[in-house]
Amino acid sequence: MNSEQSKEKSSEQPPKPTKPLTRFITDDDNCWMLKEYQDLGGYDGLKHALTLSHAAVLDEIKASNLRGRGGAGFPTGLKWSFVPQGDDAPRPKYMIVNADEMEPGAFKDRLLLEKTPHQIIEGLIIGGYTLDADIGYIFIRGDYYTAIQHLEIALKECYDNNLLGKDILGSGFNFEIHIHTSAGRYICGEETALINALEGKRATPRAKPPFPQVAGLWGKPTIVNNVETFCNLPHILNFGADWFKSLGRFKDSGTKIFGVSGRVKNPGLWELPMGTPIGEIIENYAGGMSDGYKLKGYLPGGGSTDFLLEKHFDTPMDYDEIGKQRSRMGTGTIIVLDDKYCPVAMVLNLVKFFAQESCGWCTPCREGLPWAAVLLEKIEQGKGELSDIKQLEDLCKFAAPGNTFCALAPGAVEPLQSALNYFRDDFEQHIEQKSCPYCVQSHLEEEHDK
Amino acid sequence: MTNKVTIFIEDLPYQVPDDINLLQACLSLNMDVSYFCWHPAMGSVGACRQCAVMQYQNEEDTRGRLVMSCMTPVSEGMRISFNHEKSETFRATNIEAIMTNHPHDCPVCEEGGDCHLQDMTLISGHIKRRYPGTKRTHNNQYLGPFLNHEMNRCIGCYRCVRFYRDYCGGNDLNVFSSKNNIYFGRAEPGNLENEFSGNLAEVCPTGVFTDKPFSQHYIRKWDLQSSSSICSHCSVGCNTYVTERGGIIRKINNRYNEEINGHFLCDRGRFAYQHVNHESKLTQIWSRAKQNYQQKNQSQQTHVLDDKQAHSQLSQWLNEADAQVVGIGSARSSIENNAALHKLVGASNFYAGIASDELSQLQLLIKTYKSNQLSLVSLNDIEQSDAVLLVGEDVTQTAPRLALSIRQMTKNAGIAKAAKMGIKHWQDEAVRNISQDEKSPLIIINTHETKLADVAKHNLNLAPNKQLELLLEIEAYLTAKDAETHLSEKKSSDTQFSDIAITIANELLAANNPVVVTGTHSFDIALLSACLRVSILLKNQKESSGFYCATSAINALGLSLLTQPDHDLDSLIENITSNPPTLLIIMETDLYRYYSNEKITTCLDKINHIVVIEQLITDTVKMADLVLPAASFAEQHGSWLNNEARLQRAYAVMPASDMRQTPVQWLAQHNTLDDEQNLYRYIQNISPLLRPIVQSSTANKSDFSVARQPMRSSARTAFFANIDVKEYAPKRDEKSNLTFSMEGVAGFRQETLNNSQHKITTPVTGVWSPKWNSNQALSKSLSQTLNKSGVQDEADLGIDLNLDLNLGLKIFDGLNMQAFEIPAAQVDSPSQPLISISICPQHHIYTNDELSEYSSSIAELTPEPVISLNQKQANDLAIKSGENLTITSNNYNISLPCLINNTLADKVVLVPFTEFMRLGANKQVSSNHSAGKANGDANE
Amino acid sequence: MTLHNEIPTNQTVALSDVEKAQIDKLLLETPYTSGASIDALKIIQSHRGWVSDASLLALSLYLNLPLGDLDSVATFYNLIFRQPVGKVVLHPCDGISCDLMGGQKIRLCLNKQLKITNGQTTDDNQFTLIPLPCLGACDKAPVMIANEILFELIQEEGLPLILNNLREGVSK
Ligand SMILES: Cc1cc2nc3c(=O)[nH]c(=O)nc-3n(C[C@H](O)[C@H](O)[C@H](O)COP(=O)(O)O)c2cc1C
Ligand code: SF4
Ligand code: FES
Repeated sequence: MNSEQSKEKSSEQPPKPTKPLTRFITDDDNCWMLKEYQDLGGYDGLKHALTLSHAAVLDEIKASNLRGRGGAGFPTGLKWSFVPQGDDAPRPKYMIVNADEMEPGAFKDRLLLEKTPHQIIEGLIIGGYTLDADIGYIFIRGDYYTAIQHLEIALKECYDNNLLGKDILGSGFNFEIHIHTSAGRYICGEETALINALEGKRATPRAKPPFPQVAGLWGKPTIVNNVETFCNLPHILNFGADWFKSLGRFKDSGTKIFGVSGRVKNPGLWELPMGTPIGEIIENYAGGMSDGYKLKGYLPGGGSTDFLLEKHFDTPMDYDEIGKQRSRMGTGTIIVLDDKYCPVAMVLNLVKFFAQESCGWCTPCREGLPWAAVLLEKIEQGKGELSDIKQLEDLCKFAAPGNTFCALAPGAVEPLQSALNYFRDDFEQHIEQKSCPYCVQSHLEEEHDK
Repeated sequence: MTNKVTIFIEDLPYQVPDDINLLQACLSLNMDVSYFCWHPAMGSVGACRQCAVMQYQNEEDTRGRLVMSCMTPVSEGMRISFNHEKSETFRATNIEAIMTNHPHDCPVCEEGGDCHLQDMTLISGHIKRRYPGTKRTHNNQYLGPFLNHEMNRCIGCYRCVRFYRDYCGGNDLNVFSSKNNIYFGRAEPGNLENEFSGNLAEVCPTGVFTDKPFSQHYIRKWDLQSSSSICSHCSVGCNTYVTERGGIIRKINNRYNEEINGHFLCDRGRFAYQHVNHESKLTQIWSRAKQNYQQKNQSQQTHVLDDKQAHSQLSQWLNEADAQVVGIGSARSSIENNAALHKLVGASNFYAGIASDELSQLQLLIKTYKSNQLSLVSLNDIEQSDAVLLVGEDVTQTAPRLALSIRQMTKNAGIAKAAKMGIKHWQDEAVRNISQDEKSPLIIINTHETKLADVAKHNLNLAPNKQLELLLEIEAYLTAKDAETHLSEKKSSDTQFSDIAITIANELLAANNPVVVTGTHSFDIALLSACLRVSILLKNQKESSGFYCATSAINALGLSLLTQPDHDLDSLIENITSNPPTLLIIMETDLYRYYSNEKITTCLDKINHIVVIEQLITDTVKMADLVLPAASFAEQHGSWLNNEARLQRAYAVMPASDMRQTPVQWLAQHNTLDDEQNLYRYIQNISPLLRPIVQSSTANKSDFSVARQPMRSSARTAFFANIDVKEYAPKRDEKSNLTFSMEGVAGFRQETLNNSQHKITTPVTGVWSPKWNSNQALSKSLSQTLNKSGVQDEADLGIDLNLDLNLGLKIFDGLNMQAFEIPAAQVDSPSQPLISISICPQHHIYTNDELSEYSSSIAELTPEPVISLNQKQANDLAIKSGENLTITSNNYNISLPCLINNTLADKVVLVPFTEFMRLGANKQVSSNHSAGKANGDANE
Repeated sequence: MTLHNEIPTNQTVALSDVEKAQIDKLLLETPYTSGASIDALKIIQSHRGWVSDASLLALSLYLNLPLGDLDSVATFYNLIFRQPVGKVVLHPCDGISCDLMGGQKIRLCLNKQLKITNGQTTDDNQFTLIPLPCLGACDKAPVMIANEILFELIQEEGLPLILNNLREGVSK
C-alpha cells in the first residue's frame, strides 16, 4: 500500500534514482550542508514518514528487504520489530548509528559521514520515528575529524530548523541526537560493546539474550545499525520498497557502497547495485591490477572475511551468494592481495590487529589470537616448523563462530583459515627455505615495535 | 519451586532441576566438566569458554554445536554430549591457550595442590605445551596484610572483579588494560578496602590472590589436618574449616552452609584466628602468692603449678568455710563451658560477662522469640527477601557476613525484572544489564552512613531519639493499617504520620517477605523493642516477613539463656563493691574492655581469690591469683547458639596444647558434671530450650571414626615427620568420633550414583573429590542442596554425622507459643534539654571483638581511635578536625582527635566502641571551648 | 590546534573552569554520571595532551567516581594516553591496505628520521609515534593522521616536508 502511495507521489518527482546513497554527493564543496541537501530532495523521506503511522513505516522497511550494511546482513525491519511498542513500552528508547568503522580495509562509512551527514541524520530520525524512540546517538570513530565536524554542524542545522528537538516539523514527534566520539577500539563496533562504551564502561560485548532491542543502553530498548543502513531509509520512504527491491541485480535489494583497495589501478568507492559480480567491481571500476602486479587473492568484505580467488569473480556481491563461496559480504570493501606481497605477512598483519584489538574477555580471542600471531611471525621470519601449520589450523577451529563470546575472533581467523587453504604452498615455502620468499629485504629492516 | 526436567547426556537420561544451567547440572551429576568463570554464588558470564559441551537439536542431529554449558539453561529433552571429540578438543585447546602465559610455578605457589587450575588442566587433557612464544609478565601489587598478589598466574576469568565489585560492592579492585594484557588489581598499590577481600583467595581459581598469613606458615593441603568449626568472632556463626599442623592454625577456609555463610566469610572470620598461635597464649597454670591485694598488679612472684596443684588450690578456695563463690560466664565461650561454671557457682551466683544494657536486650529477645510472634530468618532468607528495614546497627562492622547478604537482597528486584524477560537469575551479566539501578528496597536508619549506603533506597541518619520517634511512627502507622485490614474500618488518618514513615511502612508492606534487621549494638532497648513490635505488626500483615537481630558475640544469646535476669556485669560490679565474694571465677572475659582501668582494679582488689580461665594473657589475667589456661576454639568441641538461635557444634582440629584444657574440663572435678551426659542433662534443666544439645553430643558418636587428616598423608606418622623421626601415636579424641590422624573413614561420605561413580556429599573435614583437589570440588557436592528433597541419605556408611552436615538446629522453631507482650517503647519526654548531644558507639570490624586484634594482619588494619561528628556539630563545639575532643563520664574520660563526618546526624558524636563501653553512664562532651559545652547520654 | 601538554608531575592538579564547564555539559546529557566518563577523559586529554595520574584523580573527585573505575576505562581505550606524549602525535596507519601499498616502509622511515621506536617520544618532546590500525582511507594508502589532519598517498620522499610543516604548525 505504501508503494502505491509513493507511486502517486512520484509522478511529480524526477525519475527515481539508481544511486540513491550518493545522489547528494556533488562537486559542490558544501554538498554536505542542509540547504544543498534539501535542494536535492533531502528530508522528503522524513516528511513522508511523518505522515504515516509508526507501524506503516516499519512495514515499508520490512517490505524493502533492507539488510544491515554493518557486516552481518541481518534484515533491518525484522530486527526493529523486536522493539517493544505501545504506551507501556519502557522509555526512553534509543537509536544508535554505528559509525565506528575500524574494520581493516573498510572506508565506506567515512565517505557517507563526511559528505552526507544529513542523509544519516534523516535516516536516524526516520528510524526514531518508526520505533517511537526518544534519543539517538551517533557513535563515531574518534579519528574521523572532518566527519565529526560536519555532523556537529549538521545537527545544529537540524535543531535550528525544527528537524530535531520537540515536535519535529509539527508532527508531535520529539527526538534528540547526541554524538559520541569513540576513544578508539575496534571492538566498539560490536553493537553491545558499543552500548557499554556509551555507558562509560570498558567496551566488552554483552551476553545475548537479552538483545539490545529489548534491554540495551541503560537497560532500555536500543537499536544499533550501520551508517549505510540508515542512509537507505530516506530513499525507501521516498521511493518505496518495490523500487528499492528493484535496484538489486540478484536477490538482495538496494545498492551498496563497494570499495577496492590494494594494488589496483583505481582504488576507490562506488555505489553499485547489490549483486554486482565481484570481477566487475575489481576489473571495471577499480581498473584491474596495477601494472606489473598480478592478482593473488582478495578479501571480499574487509579484513575479517575469507580470501577468495580470481575464479570467484562471477560471484554476485549478495550476502548469500558470497556465503556459498565460504566467505562473507562483510563491509563490501575488497582488499586485493597482489603477487608481490607475502600472504603470510598479510595474514600476520591482520591477526596482529585483531589480537591487539581483542577486548580481553574470552579465552579463544584473548589468548588464541596472540598465539596465532606468534606462530605466523615465526613462519614469516623463516623460523617456522611444519607443526606450526597444524597449530594454526587448530587455532582457527578453536576460534570458530559460536566458540567465542562475540564475532571478533571468528572474523579474525577467517583470512587465516582461507590463506592456509588457498596459499598453503606459501606457508610451506617459508618453512622449507627458512625465509620469506617474497621480500628478503623486509627482514633486514624490521619495524621497531615497542 | 523447582521442577525436574529430563536431559540426555551421551544418550542417557538424567533428572535435573529445571532452574539451573547445564554446567551446574553436569557437575551435580558428578561429571568432570571444567570451568573457570562460573561460580555457584556468582552465576555465569561465559568468559572463560572452558565449559563447552556439544548440544544436539534432536535425536537425528548428529552434527551438533558447541555451547558453553554455563550459559545454557537446561530444558526438557535436551541432548548433549560431553565426550564428543569436538568438545574435548575445544576444551583442551582452550586450557592450552589459557596456559600460554601462565608461569608454571606450581612448586612455589601457595595454591599448589589446592588449585582449581591444576585440576582443570589435567581434567581437560592439556599435558603438552606447544606455544613457542614468550610469556607476558606483570608487576605485582601490595594489597595489604591479607592477600598476596601474583598477577602472572592470572588466567583472566574475571571472577575476582565480579566478586569484589558486583558481589561485595567494593570499588578499589578493578580490571585494567585489555587484550591479553588485562591486569586485575588496584589503581594504586595499597590495602584492599572491602571487608570480604579474603574470599578472593578462594574465589580466584589459581594463585593470583592467596592467603598471606597462610603463606607465612605454609603447608600443602594434603599435609593439613582439618575439622569443621564455627567462627567465633561475631554472632552470625559462619561455618568454617580450621586447618592445622604442628599445633599451629594455618588457615581458615569457608565451610559451605547454605543457610548462613554460603560460600563466603568476612575478613575478621578468616584472619582473626591468629590469637590461637599468639605468643602470649597461655599454656601453663600460673599462681601468685596471695599477699597484698592492693599491690597485686605490681611485680610478684608467679609460680607454675601442675594439674594436681591447681585443682587442690581451687578446691581449697571453693571449700573455705565462709566461701562465697561467684562466676562470670563468657559470651565467646561454648554453652558447655558456661553451663559448667553455672553448675559450680549456682544460678544466683552466675553472672554473664555482658553489660546490663545488652543483657536486658538479649533477654527481651529471648522472651519475644519464645512467644513465636515473629519469624527468625537466616542469612539465606534475607538474601531471598525483597525488602529490608535495617535499624540502628552498622552490620558491616558488627556482623559483617550479614551485610553481604543484605547487599545481595537488593538485587532481587533486578532479578525479578530479568525473569520477566525470560532471563535466568544465574545469567549474571545479563541480569546486571537489565536491572541497572533497579533495586529491592533497603531502608537504613542509623546515626551515620554505613557501608551499605550505596545500595540503600533510603539512608536516614538520625540521632537515637529521632530514630525511635520514626520507628514509633511506623509502628503506629502499621497498627492503623492492621486495624484497617482486620476490622475493615477505614481511617483516613494518614495525616498524622510523616511522609517518610508512610513511605517506609508502605515499602515494607509492598514486599512479599520483608525483613526487619537490627542489633544490640546501639544498646538502646527502647529502639530494639520498637523494632520487635514493628516486625510483629508486619508479620500480622505479611505472614512471610522476618526478623534478624545481630548480637555482640557468638554465644551471647546462648549465655543469656543460662543467666538470670539482671545478672549482668554492671550489677555484679555493684554487688562486689558492697559485698565482695571470696572467690571470683572469671571465664574468658576481659573485664578491662568494658570498664575503666580504675573502676575494675578497685573492684577486683576487694576479692580474696580470683581465678581466671583464659586463652591469652589479657589485662584481667594479670589480676588473677590462679590462671587456668583454656583451650582455644580450635582445641575443643563445643556448641554455640548464634543470633538466630541456631545451635551448632564445632569440632576441635587439634588436641589442646601443653596444659590447656577446656573450661569444662577444668571445672569437671569440682561441679560433679564429670560425665558428659550429666552435663547435657544439667544444661537441659537450666534451659529446656537447649534440649537439642543432647542430640548433638550423641549424634556424633558411632562405631566408625572419621579421619581429620587426608588419606593422602603419606603415612600415619608422617604428620610429624617434619619435626621428629620418632613415630608418635596419634592423640585420642574422646569427645567425638574424629581422629587426630588419617585413620578412620575419609572425612567425606561418598554417594554412589546410578552411573556407578562416586561423589562426595558430606564434607566433614574439607572438600575433596576424585580429580578435584581444590576447594572448588564443592561445586560437585552442591547438588545435594540443590535438590533438598532428600538425596542426602543413601549409601550411608553407618556414620550419623547429622549435626555436622545439617544446618544446625534453630531452637525456637516449632515451639509452643508463650504469650509475651513487648513493652511499648516511648520517646523521652521533651523535658530533655534540647541541646543534648547523644554519644553513640562507633563499631569497627577489626576492633569490635575481643580476640581479633591478636592477629597481626588484623592489627595492621585497625583504625586510629577518633571521635566523629559532623561539621555543624564541630562548629557548635568550636573545634576543628584533628583537634582533641574530650568526653567524660562518672569515672572515666577520653580525649581523642575528632574527625568530621558529614553523614552523621546532628547532635550525635561517635566514640570508639570499647571507649564507649568504658565510659559507662553519664557521658558528656566537654569541649575545650566552654562555648560549646553540652552534655548528654547515649542511651537515655 | 595547539596542545599545552601537561608536564609529568606527582602533584595534584585542579580541573580548569573550561574543563569543568565541558564536563558539566556532558553530565546533562547522560542519565548516570558514569556515562560521561569516557568523554570526560577525552576532554581532559584534549586540554592536557594526556591523562596523568593527577588529572585522573582530579576527575575522579569531580565526577565522584572511583579512581579505579576511571583508570579501568582509561587503560582500555587506545586513544586515551596514560603516558605523556609529544606536542604532535603521529598516527601512521598500520592497517593492511596501507601495508599492501608500502605502509611499513613509511613507518620504518619515520622510526629512522625521528630516531624513536613506536610508542616513543622524541627527545625534543615534539613527536610521539603511535601507529593506528586502518584509518579508513584505504584508497589513498599509505596514510597518516597527525594534528587532526589526514595525510594521504604518503611517499617516503614527502615525509621530511610533512614533519617540518607539523613542527612549524606547532610552534606557531
Ligand atoms: C568486532 C566487531 C566489530 C564491528 N564493527 C562494526 C563497525 O565498525 N561498524 C558497524 O556498522 N558494524 C560493526 N559491527 C557489526 C555490529 O555488531 C552490528 O552488527 C551492526 O552495527 C548492526 O548494524 P546493521 O544491521 O545495520 O549492519 C562489528 C561487529 C563486530 C563483531
Ligand atoms: S571474541 Fe571474546 S575477547 Fe574477543 S573481542 Fe569478542 S568477547 Fe572480547
Ligand atoms: S565457566 Fe562457562 S564460560 Fe567460563
